[in-house]
Amino acid sequence: MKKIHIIVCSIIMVVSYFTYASILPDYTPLESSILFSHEFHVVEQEIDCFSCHESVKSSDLSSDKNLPSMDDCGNCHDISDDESCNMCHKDADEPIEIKNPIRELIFNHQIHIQMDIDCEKCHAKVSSSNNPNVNNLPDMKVCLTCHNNLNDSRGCITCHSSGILLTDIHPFDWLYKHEAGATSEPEWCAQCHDNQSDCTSCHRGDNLTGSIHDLNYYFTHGLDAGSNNLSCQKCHDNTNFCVACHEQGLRMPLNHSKVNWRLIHGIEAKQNVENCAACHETSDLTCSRGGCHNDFDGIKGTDPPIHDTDPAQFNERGFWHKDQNYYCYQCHTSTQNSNFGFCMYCHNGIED
Amino acid sequence: MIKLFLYALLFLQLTCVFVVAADGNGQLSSEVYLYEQDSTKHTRLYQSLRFNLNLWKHYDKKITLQNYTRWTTDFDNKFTTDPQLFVYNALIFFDNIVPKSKISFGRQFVYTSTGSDLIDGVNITNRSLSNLRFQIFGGIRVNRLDPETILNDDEYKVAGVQTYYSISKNVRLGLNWFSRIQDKEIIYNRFGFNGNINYNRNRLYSRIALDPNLLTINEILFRIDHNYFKWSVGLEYLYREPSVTSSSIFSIINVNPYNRFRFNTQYKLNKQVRLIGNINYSLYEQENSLSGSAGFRTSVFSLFYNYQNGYGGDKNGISGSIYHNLNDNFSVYGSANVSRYRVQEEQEDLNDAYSTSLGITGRIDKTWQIRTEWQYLRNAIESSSSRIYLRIDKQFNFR
Repeated sequence: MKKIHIIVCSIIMVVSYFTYASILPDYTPLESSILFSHEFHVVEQEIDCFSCHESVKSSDLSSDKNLPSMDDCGNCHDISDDESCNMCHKDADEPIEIKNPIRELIFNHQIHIQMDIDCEKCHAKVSSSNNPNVNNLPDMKVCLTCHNNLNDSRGCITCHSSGILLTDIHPFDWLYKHEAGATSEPEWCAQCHDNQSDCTSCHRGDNLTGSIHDLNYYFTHGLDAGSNNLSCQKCHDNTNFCVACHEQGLRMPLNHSKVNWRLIHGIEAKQNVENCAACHETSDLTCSRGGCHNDFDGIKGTDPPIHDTDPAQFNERGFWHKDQNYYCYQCHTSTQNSNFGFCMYCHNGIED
Repeated sequence: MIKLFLYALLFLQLTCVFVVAADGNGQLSSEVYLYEQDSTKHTRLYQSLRFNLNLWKHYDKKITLQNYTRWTTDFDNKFTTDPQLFVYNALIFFDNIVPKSKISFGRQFVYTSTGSDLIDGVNITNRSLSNLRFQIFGGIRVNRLDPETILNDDEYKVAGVQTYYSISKNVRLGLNWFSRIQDKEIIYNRFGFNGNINYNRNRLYSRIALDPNLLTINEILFRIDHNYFKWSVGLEYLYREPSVTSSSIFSIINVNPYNRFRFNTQYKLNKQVRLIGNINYSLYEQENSLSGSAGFRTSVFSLFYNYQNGYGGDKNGISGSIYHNLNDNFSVYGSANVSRYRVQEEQEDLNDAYSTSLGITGRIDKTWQIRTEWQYLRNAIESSSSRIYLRIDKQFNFR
């Protein structure tokens, strides 16, 4: 019974192979049977590209065959001389015609030539080539130098006529491998992905799969929040993002539990003031709570300072004179009277 | 105004899918994440829809609808924000309808080198002059804690301008401004200048950000990258002064600026293997910080050593990942991460953090993809936590 299965499977495989082989287009690579030096013709003889490839001037399809015919060669060479066949044909006894590969791309030589785009911009280094081959044809990367999202927003359909499924462009293993391309050649992505959510639908901060941060990052992120806060801010707005957990979950940052936190928190505030403001400004102002940084007695120098008292800073009539709710008065609660307390710091009892 | 605008736009978009859309593509994703944390069980569901619809196209002109919306809830123990509908993008995009201009209305992410925000507003980019790209945007900021609500426009506005001028093919200069306005008062204001020069295999990028309200330089960045055959080398200097909005009471604190140097290098051993290393050294007022990583990455395997010491904490860790195609449609992958760290210098013993994951991803057909992953975590809080993640994606095209 097993043998029958093996035989049936083998027959199916062989039939499938030949069926597919007959369906697939007959592709003849341009590694041609012709001996030809572009360098000699273009550089040494200074022959213009269009002398041989004249048809490109009116070519509007990628499937057009724009290679010179033997008659074109005959404009300069004596093609009637049977003795000199092997000057161009690798195998003069059985010369092979170069077949155009089937191309489904949308490409119009005529438009590009009318825009005075130099042939070598796309056909790189063709003028120094001594052997016509596929290396002189542009790959998609060359197209993207002009047809990037900045200059041309039409995306894939600029060149690819047929409807393309996303999965055709992003192969099966794209999920694992896209990082390398996205970081080194982002213009490839930007060609189609002008919708920001294409990235953020996965890279959105939930860290469900550890794609960006490792799975334990929830527990170790304090390392980065302390020393590398700027990197966090590239993707996360600390006021919005951090507060979502720290305030709603009533979880204090780990450094707040240090035994000497009350003594050293000023240093942290100077270094990472954005982190402080993210939580402490959205709730009640912790600094002045419990009488810590609260100048309720109006006596200068009796409370731990939170800022420098630069005389030059306070000599001019600042907003605090007009605005009774100005933030000075959140801590300096003693008075708003020039004869007493906080105002006395400058006014010395003199009304101004 | 609450929710009205977003729902109206969403309704319009969904209607257009069936009625007038010329073509487009999109993706429907369902994710389930099961885990237990602090003895609380969670079964989280994330349901998202993303699509681009071309309502009208004519050569290089087109009108497109773009949307990315996600609905989140928890079947077991809900967070305070659950259930939540978060519209990340909902915009109508006019490309070249006004010649050489891109105009988008709706919810979108806007950014310059001096600030970024998710806004409900308008964003216009114009390239009428061949060497100049001019962008202007403005709108109402989205509160991420309450994304369904559009704030009163007096409360929180965002505006910005970004221009790029290409002096030549390889030299580009940029000027930008980003501002946040709350209760008619400018609370965040930044002017920025940036320059980018490409010369042979070198790239030079620099950036300066200024706070015109406080008359201070907020940030200076200078970076040079050099590629030489198989080598890529980058060197970066950053000066930064932490800052908060000018109306914040925290703005009275005299902050300490810091300097950071970065060096990174990459060597392509061959087509498959890249050796990667980077070092960061930050100079703070009290204590400096050194961090770095070194390792290699191939198309199927990666291994890195990570190090951090100084301000912010200490860490030694190793991380690795592996990927293997079983066949054309299924693949397995795994990752592991081990680290010893401390956030507080008073902490005598280092904490251990260990995580690993094993997953399988498969394509049922060209448009259906599934992914399932088992995760295991061990850390200072969770002695053992096992988690399951499941994702199903359906991609679709409109014709």
